Amino acid sequence: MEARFAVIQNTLAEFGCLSPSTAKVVQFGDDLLVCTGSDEVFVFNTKERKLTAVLHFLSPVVHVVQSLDKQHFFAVCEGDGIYCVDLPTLPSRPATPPSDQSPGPALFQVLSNSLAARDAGVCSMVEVQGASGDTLVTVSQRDAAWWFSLYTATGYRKLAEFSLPVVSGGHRTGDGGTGLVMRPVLACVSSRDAPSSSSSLVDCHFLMETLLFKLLFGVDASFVNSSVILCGLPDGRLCSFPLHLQGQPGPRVRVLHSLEQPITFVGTSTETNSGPQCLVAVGRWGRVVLARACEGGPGDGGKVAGFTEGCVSGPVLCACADGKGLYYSTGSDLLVLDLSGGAEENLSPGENLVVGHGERQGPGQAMEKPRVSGLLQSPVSLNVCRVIALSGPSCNTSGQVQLLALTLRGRLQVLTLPGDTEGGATARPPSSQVGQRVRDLLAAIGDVCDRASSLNSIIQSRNNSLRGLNQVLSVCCLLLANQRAGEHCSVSEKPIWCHIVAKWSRLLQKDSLILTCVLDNSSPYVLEQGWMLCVQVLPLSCPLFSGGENFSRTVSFPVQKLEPSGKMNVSLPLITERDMSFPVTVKCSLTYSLQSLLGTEELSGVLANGDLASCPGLEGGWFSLALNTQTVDWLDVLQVVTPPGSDPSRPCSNPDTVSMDTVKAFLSSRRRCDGYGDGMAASEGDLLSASIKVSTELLRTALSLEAPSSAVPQGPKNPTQGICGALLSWLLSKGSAGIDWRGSGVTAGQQGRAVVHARCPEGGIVKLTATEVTVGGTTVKEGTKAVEVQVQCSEMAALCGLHHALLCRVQPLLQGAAGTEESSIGAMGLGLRLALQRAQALYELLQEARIPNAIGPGRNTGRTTKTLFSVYRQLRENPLLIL
Amino acid sequence: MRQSNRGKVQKLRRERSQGFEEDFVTAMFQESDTCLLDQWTEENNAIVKKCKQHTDRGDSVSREQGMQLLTWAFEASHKLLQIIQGVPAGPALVQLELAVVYNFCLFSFSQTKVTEAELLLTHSLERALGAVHCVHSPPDLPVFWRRVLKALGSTSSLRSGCLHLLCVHWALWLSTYSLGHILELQQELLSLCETLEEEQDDRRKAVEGGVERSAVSPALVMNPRELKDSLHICTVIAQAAERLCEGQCLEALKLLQKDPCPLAPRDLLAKIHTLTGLCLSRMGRPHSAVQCYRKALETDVRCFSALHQSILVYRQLGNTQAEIQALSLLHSALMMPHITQTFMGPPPLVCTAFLLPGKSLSSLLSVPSSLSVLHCLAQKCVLHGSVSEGVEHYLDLLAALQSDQQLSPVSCEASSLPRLPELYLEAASSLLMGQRPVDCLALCEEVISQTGDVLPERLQLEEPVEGSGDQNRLELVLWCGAAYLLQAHCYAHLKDWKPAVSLYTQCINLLIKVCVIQKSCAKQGMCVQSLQRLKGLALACRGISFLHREQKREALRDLQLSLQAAPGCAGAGLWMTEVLWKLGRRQEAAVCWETTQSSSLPPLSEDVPIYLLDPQNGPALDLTDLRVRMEEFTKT
Repeated sequence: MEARFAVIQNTLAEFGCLSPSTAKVVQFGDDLLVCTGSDEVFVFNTKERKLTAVLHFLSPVVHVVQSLDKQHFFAVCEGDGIYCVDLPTLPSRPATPPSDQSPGPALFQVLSNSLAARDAGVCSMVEVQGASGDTLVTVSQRDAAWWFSLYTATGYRKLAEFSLPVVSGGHRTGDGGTGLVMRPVLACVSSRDAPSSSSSLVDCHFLMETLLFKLLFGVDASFVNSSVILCGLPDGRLCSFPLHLQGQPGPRVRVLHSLEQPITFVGTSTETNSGPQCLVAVGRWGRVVLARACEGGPGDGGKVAGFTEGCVSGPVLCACADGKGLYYSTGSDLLVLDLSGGAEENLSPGENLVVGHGERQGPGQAMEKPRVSGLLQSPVSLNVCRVIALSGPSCNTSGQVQLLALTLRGRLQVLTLPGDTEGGATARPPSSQVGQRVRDLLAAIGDVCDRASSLNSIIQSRNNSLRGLNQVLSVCCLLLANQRAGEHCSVSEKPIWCHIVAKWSRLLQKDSLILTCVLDNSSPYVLEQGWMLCVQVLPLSCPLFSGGENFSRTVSFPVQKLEPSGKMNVSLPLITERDMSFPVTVKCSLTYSLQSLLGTEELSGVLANGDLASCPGLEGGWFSLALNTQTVDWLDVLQVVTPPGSDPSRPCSNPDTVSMDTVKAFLSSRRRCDGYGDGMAASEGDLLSASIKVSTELLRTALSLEAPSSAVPQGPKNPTQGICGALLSWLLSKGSAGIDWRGSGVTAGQQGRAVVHARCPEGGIVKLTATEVTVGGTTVKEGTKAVEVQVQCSEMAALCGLHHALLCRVQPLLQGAAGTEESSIGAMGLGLRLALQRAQALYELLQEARIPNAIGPGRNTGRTTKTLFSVYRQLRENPLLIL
Repeated sequence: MRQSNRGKVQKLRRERSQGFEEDFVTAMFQESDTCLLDQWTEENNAIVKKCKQHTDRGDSVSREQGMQLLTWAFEASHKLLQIIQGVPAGPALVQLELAVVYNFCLFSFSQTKVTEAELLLTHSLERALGAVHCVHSPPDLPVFWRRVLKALGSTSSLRSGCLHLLCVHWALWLSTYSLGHILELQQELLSLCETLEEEQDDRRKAVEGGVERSAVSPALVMNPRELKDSLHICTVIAQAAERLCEGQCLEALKLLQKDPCPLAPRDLLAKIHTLTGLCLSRMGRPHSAVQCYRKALETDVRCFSALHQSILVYRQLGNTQAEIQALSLLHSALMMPHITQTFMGPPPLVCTAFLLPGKSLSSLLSVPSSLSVLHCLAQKCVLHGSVSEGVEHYLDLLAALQSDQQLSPVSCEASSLPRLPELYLEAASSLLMGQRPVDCLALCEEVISQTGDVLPERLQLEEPVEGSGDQNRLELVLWCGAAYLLQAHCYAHLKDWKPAVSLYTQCINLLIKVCVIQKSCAKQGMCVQSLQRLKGLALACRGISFLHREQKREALRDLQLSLQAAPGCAGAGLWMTEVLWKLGRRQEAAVCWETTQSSSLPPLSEDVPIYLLDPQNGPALDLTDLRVRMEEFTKT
């Protein structure tokens, strides 16, 4: 049905991306003025086919109008006023034909001395010819009214000003929320009989047959041959006022019609043979109104002005009209609508028609007749997309219609429409045109391809985002379920888990304690980019010098991509410059930022929206899911040393340095002990010591060792170690799975005894001894076998910490064995609790004693010493037995 | 508490700095302070000097130059003010600052930046209050000013500056039409006037006594006393206009006659006289009012509103000749390039239009546009004697309308010229009256050609027609019909009866297509009245033409129809008597004569357009002959 026109697209130049509301192209003799919506206007010469000048204005140019004498042009600058720029004086044209080294465009700064009229609210303007000098007509918006101002074209003296109140509400000013501001459209209409109408017409100037002119605008304007200014307002009103008509009663500005949508174009279709001339107004959303002179109704007879309304599919970005019809662009296509079709039988049934809304009164004798049958035919596509500004139409030498078009991407094009459209669909084009058509079709295909590829990439990225979001949601569900299940579910049940191990390593000739976290992903989901492993190190007690403030730090490691059953190893130094006090709690969590999914801008938009920001746990687009928490205590941070002469193949560290360190540690501990002032010896024999006793039976059950009756002891790691060795190994390795090198530091002595030498982080010497003893007393029955674990240490703090750690380790043992061991109830439990409480109290005492020491050395040494000594004594007096 | 702390700190500092050093530093600061003060004062004085020089040069400065200078002065004083306000206020500085604010505000008037001026003014006053340790400033303006006057009035150096600013604020209130504030502060403003007079006297005495004023005192761009005088008179005018619009003429008169200020500008005095005249004319004393208007014109020749008001009074008194004279005077005055005259020379610092923005005043003193005055003049001339003059005026009017020059620079929405076709018809009928039938024919032809192609074929109307959309279409018919009628009159005038009859017929044919449905017995609207009168006229005139063509039966029919349509058109009754007589129906003629003589027709209202009046120089009936015949017949 639709005749496909092959439009020849001839690209002249390219500019940057344009703003669709203000882009304009104006033909100016051989020059084209291109206004892109910025504060620059480009002058393009069509003969030389190059950019000859760039005019830089002080503020954004929203409209460009050619002057009547074609010597200069007017630029409407937003928030400023109207500038008049003389064109011939601007570029000094090169006399020689353009060569390859032709100079680039000249840049001209338009200064405020070219300002013709200052009016901050000015939106649009038009220049009108008159016998006694030309007139500038501007429209501006201020104080809730549209102001039409008349200026003389020479001297720019304001002649008159009249207003039309702004109609508030009821119309959409924006373009569906994209913030497109519509501007009024001005046009100047003269009667064909008017004497001044003989001159050639420029943009926005139209001639109208006298009858229609009189019907639309009244006879008065026709009496004085006055031009009429038509203005299409963004609120949809099409209003008019005669330019030279003074002292007439009534308001000067009259509303002819209302389109009820922003008006994009006002013009006339010049008279053709096939139909009468008409006035055309096109609304933003596709409403087309035609005004024609037609026969009145049966009651009145005579001629009346009839308004016909029709609809095309919008949005209409720009339009122009000639005798053939109305050319308009919807952004995705350029279409031509035949206006000349007076034959009403051409109406196709599928056409979208809007019938007039009852009788309305026009001015003068113009009475609107609602016409049920529309005169609109269906538009024909020209297959040119993204046109946002049109100029013309003009006819070239071969009678073809040419349009100047500016596309959204800033491409300036000449569109040549085939001249003969009647036979175009059936007649075979001459062979010379076939090539051209193929080229055009290819260009059109290319355009469509461009669009398709950009759409494809958008779809791709959306899909990726969705996939990512799905993964994230699954992981979230898993981890939340874990959190709900609590900490008591075993490690193997947790699909995503973090192993935390503290170990010593040697870096730059210095031993340092490194916390190693292994993120184990045994879930079926991939941890994508955007996830972070956060490790928070939180000391249980605060260090002294931080003044009671809890000193914690958090380190985040971005997860690159962790496949199912993959592992990620991260490590961080545990001992910082500031003395870390043990034990510390290490909390691992996985966090996810929406930013990686949405991008920064979108995220800030979403957050500003307030929907997400109010969700708990989503501050700043982050949410965090806890993995597990572990405590690193004194036992974990002990640096096990092998006494000289033991297994040299141990991979831990160079024995020489270790021994050196030991010596150093010894010396320093000695020095510190000297500080107490009472001459306490600090040799190995005089180390501070504390001990606990644990029932052998309990240990065997807990460590799942076999009874000593079996000939060959089979400990989990070192079968030769016996129960004592096993206990020490367990203590040092925390019973966790995997190879623990520290266990090898345990030296099994004679039967029933094992010793571990170690250093604490501050450098003090630690000796852990496990001995099998037989105890008897009031609370337990005689001859109970037990293992005594003795902690010997040169430093009081370390001793207390170790003791505390020992008790903490053993406590779960007791709990675990409680169900199986009948004997571990009653007095023994009580005793244990008492012992634990005592240890806690001692630790607090010790911390207190350290405070004065930290404030200033040498103060209150006596009291500190006393306290420490009492702690020491209490520790020694109450050996613990755990059954 | 804080004070005591500060005291302690100062004490401590004094103790530490051991006297000598401290004094030295303070002295240094004071030195530089006064230097700056002098510098700023000189800067201010330079601005004022430059402005005054320009004003003194008078007309040699163009308006644009004057405006540019004022803009420059505004910006320069604004900058200076900003610099000064960057320093904490001290008494000496405040004195300068008040003077600079005074100048700045006066400059701002010409830039129409009133709100900015008001803000800076109150800000400066607050700073001044701060300088005399009066911190709290009430938001209410009159209360604020009372506080300011009380706080600063005691300090002699600040008192005058503060009073000058009160003048400026007064001007601001006038310009924003806040008469309430002025009324509230009436007492203060009165005492301000007295103080300024005294100040002026003191200064004169000081100058006479040869006392040198200190060289660096800040200069003012306008003498506050002059400003005060115009403010005072403007206040009177604004208040009187308000009263007058409310209908309280007596109170307005009292206000206006209270204290004449002979030194005030001429235009303001003329306004006072005009308003007094308005009061008097509204109180029913037109003669006294005319005296006032004359006084106003004597005071200021450009007081056109007085001239316009006197025209209205003459019209009311029925003094047509005086009215015509005044109209032609007003028209020639309006046509004088007075507007460009005011554009010459530098603009005044404070123009009266700025001080008198009230709508009531402008509506009272409004003057119609020159075109509407010209139309009025032409109409009066044609109706009252001097037809040839009227014709000339009409032709001038049409020429002015045809030219696309915008004569009135202001918007004239309320101007009352009739529609253009009506003007053409009026001009055409005046041409006919002036014995220029050919020109009349041409003008009518223009109307017919313009309206002919848009005429409705039939028109069915319902009363009332006015205001409805049908009015336009009915008017078209009326205009076209009237044009035919006038053309026919022309041929009748030329005694060319055949075309006259055919044109009358065309007119009648046009009119009978209009069918008016009378709904109620309410008074007919203007349009319908015109339609009936036009129909009656056309029929009567066609009848007369038929009679001249010796078609007596047709003549009788038309005259009868005319009497039915609208009685009394073109002496239809008398002509019918004549026709009947000529037909030999003498009895009927006598009855017709009797009824015509006895019936008293209502006089035509003033609103009937000229072109619908009875044709003056058409075919005449020898009335004395008819009367003699009739009286003889009735006797017998």
